[in-house]
Amino acid sequence: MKTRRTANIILREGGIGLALILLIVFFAFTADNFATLANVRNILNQITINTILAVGMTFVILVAGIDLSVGSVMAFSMMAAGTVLKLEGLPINAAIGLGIFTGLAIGMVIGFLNGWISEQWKLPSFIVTLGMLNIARGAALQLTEARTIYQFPTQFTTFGTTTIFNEIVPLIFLVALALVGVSWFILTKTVFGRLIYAIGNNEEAVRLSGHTPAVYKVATFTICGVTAGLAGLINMSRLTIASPIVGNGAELSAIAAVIIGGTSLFGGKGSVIGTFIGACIIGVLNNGLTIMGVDDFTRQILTGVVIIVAVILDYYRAKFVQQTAAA
Amino acid sequence: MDNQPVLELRGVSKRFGAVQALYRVDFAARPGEVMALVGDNGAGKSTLIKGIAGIYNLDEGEVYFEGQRVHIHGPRDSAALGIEVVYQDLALADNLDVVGNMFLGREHLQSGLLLDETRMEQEAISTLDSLSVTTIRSVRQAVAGLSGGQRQAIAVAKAVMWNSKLVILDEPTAALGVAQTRQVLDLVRRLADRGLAVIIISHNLHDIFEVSDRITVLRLGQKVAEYVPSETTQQEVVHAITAGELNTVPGMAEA
Ligand SMILES: Nc1ncnc2c1ncn2[C@@H]1O[C@H](COP(=O)(O)OP(=O)(O)OP(=O)(O)O)[C@@H](O)[C@H]1O
Ligand SMILES: [Mg+2]
Repeated sequence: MKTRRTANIILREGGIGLALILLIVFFAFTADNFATLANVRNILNQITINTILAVGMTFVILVAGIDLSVGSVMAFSMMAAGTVLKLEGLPINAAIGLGIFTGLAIGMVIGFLNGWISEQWKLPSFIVTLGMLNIARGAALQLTEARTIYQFPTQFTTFGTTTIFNEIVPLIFLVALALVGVSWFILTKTVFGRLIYAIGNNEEAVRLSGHTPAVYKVATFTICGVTAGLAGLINMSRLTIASPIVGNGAELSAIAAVIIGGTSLFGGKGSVIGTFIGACIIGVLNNGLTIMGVDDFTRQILTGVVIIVAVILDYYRAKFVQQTAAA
Repeated sequence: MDNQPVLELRGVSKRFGAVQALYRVDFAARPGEVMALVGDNGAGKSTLIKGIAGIYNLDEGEVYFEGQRVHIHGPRDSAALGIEVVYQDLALADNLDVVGNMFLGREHLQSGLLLDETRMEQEAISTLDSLSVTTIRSVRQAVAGLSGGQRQAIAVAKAVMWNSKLVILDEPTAALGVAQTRQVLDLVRRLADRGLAVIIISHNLHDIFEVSDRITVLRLGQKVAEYVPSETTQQEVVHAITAGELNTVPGMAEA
């Protein structure tokens, strides 16, 4: 029984993992300077933010929702936290603590609102979060009248710029990795996770079992909001500035990572491990193509192709799994 | 008749806007007996069991469980009493495996947080064994790939796993072929032989006569007759379903 479950997991995650490995091998042989330690650090840095956003997005998509506002929420959280960090007269540690709290709290409140409004009025989250995308971006720009905030306390920016293990692994990447681990645990080992999957497939079954699906759905949006806030803080610490135009279109990369990772937009199917690999694929692809000298436009085209190919492959994988299950 | 009912409804009514879905229905289910609930489409069968399960609040009437007056306000209340319902559409999550479905919403935990998969798996297997459900080869397969009969068997097994005292099945054989219907009816009979009270809704009178100990006929929301299969005929039951005598409902046009 155990082996069957393991086999299922390998089937589910293995294909996409293999794709990532092939991609890495391909670039290692074709792109000079791809397989260097410095470039590994680059890639890890580049995929951190998208991984964090995509993990939160996975929760929402598992209950068949979508959150288009994460890029803007990330920017708004960043600007608000940045403003707090620059407050005059606060001891540095207090300012940092308050800034972090502000960034996360804003993400949490907006995420909650996204979920609550969708559930309260039975609106598609696509529409609600599209509205929120504009609201949060507008708020981010308004906060400083579109100005960028500079010069944060080094205590805050050190975190985002520190690397460990021979300066290969950025600390912020470890945060993303920890988030993946915690989320995987929640989704596979707890009742909350079990109900998230069940709701994504058959909300009515969960209702009849005596639980209120809306509560869990709102919780997924709240989680997604918090991860967007976290992404804002980490991005600010890494860039050492806070800019209101950061994260434009970030929601699309996050959704792409989730989809490439094998999570179904219809809900109930997928995993954060897949999402993480999806984010790696996007990151490696962008990095490798850039190193090879492929221009921006072509890169964008190729990324689009990869998304479509991934969902087509997933279609065949699902069929294959069904056949082996039936056999 | 010395067999005390597990569940007794006295004069229950339910109205949806202009539709009087139930009108002063008396109804009882006894341990070790299969009570069949029959009636035409829209007669109020599903409404009655949803009232028992607490999905709908009944407008009037009293509900007694093991002799005690009870107020059931939701699926949790009915489950706490030992009432389990297998719904018409089965309420299974296709993406979860058999174990996940049998424990949906009532998962066993270890150290207060982690899903206790081993324990759930063992209990699922032993419940299926005890019901002689042999058609399910692995409790770790997703229910999406299972046949209608297998799904029905899981829904039933799920219902009996909780020391339930009353199991209610809404059209459990409606979508099944001959052999699978046979298996599910056998399963229903085994539940009663274990001492459970069983309520079964079905449109198939042949099945009903085969498996039930009593038959309650609803027509347009009213109980028009109650029979013991050995003392009646299918024709008589059909007559009650289509033309059973109704009381006039105040404020309603004569049907
Ligand atoms: N949620 C609801 N809102 C409004 N009317 C309802 C609702 N549920 C049931 N009704 C009405 O109540 C009446 C009884 O419906 P019910 O579903 O109980 O019938 P049934 O005996 O189960 O029929 P079937 O054999 O078709 O399943 C019908 O007229 C139905 O239209
Ligand atoms: Mg019905």
